[in-house]
Amino acid sequence: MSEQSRFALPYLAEIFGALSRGRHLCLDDGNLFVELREHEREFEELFQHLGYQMIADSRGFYYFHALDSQSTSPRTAKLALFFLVLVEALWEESSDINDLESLLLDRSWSLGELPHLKRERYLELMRQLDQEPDTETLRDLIRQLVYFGFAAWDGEERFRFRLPALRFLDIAREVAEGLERTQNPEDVAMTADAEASA
Amino acid sequence: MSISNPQRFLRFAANHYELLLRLLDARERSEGELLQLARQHLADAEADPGKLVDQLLALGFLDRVPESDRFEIPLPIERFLRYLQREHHLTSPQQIGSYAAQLAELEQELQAAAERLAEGEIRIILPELADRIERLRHDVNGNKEAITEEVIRFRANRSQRPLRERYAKVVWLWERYLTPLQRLLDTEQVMERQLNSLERTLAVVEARLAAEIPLLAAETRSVLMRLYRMRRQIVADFRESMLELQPLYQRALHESRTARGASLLLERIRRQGLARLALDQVLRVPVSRHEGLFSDLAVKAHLFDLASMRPNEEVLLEQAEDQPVEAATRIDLARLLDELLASRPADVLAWLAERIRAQGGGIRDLLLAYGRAVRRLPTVAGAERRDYVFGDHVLTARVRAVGEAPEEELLDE
Repeated sequence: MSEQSRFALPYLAEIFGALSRGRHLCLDDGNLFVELREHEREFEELFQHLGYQMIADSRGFYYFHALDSQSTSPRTAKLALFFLVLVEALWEESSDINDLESLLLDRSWSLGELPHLKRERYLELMRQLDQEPDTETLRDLIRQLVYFGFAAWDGEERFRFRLPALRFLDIAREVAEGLERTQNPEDVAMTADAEASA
Repeated sequence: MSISNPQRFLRFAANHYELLLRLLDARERSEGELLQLARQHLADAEADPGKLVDQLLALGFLDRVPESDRFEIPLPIERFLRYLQREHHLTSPQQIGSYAAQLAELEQELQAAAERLAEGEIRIILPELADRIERLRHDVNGNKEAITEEVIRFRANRSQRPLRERYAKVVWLWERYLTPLQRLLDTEQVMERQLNSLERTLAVVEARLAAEIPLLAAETRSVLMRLYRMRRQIVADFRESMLELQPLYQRALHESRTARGASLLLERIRRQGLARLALDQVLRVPVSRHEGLFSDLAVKAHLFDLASMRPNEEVLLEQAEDQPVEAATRIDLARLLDELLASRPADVLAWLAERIRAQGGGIRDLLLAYGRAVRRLPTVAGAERRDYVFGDHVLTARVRAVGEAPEEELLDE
């Protein structure tokens, strides 16, 4: 590939390597993100020719969306469970900020602050991960979140969520919206909180 | 309860205003709680808090809760104090709608009285009309103020209530107060027609009384002016309430939808199991399967690294058959790569060469392992080029280190 080739894109190998491993790239990834944003269309076209669909999320991150013919990572289902528990706990217990996104993104966390091991209901859910959940389970999940670019370590024992973590909130919202489409919208609005508090 | 001595009532209120405000903090209090509160607000430490509580009861600032030994502030006093504090109570749209119905009745009575020029009746009806118009105006304005206060409270979040509760209040305000009020004020609706009709009637009555009873015509005119003002203000107040609350309401729907979706999914996971929901199919994060495609890039990089490899002897094709065939790979490459990742050497090729040599491997093992390391592991090539001697071979490549990013601790699936 010559330097003049339209596919001679900066950090191509690194970007492709990261995205094809399932990593989500955002501003925290420095040059990789900057070059992706700078040459978004070219990258998109090139990856499409290689058989990959790159999603440029308007909230400021990129990722590969596996096509039907491609395998998906089963680990992400476990990460989704981790996140759903966190969202429910924040909604019910947290009082120091006005929205879930800020609650997730505007702070760093230690393993001890996570709600997953603190309520029997959450423990029961976490047992779906095929092991008795403990701090090591959480640490392993955080490692995987970091691997996929949903989180980043923030020191030895602390981590923070990165923008791509918003994809987990999208899942929850899409499920609720799907349900709303089958119900009277007014009924849903009336029952939304009742169900959350049930 | 009537206030027998208003001057004494107001003097006491002025002297103990802070105490009265504290009473607003709780709906009910026991006698013990009242005594404790009174003690905190006594100027003289020696004074009797019991006497202060007795005064509160005697002047009507407190009332007994029925069938209970607890006390509460009577509603008119509470409203008065909250009004002084610029705190407003919410009036239900049903109540506001009932004012409109009362206005319609009074309008009919005024019409009939004006036809008969029944001066006495008109003198009674006009103040009643003015009263209902003002109540409607004040109550809609009070709702606007109460909603604005609630929005400020939400943003300030001094109560430290959980998100769920705070958004529930927003949804409640919207659905209980604003949506019905919007229906009331809708130009196609009954209330609008009633107010239009009242306007016409007042104008007709004013014209009729102008010649016969000019004083009452002026009073009718005054009621008409109140009606104009009320209609102007309730629309403005309603719009302002909407502007205050709408962004929060939409946010509330958005947030509660997310939380609701999370709870629903968790419930399904609990009942059906995580695997059944196939959440990985929703996220569709790809698994690394680089053998087909990634090799195009990685092998190119690999070849680029090895482009300047200089074999130290030329092997002619016709002699190749005589060359000893290297033994099949005995090296456990997966394990080797795991060890490589754990060791994070600064020079991948040197590390591999040393390990493969120690395990009795050959040049093919080394090239195979190095190729896989480059393809599958996070490695970073430096600027320096180095010669690597392996048996009879000399390889030249850029020094490549295992990346430092913690996420790379995980191997590809």
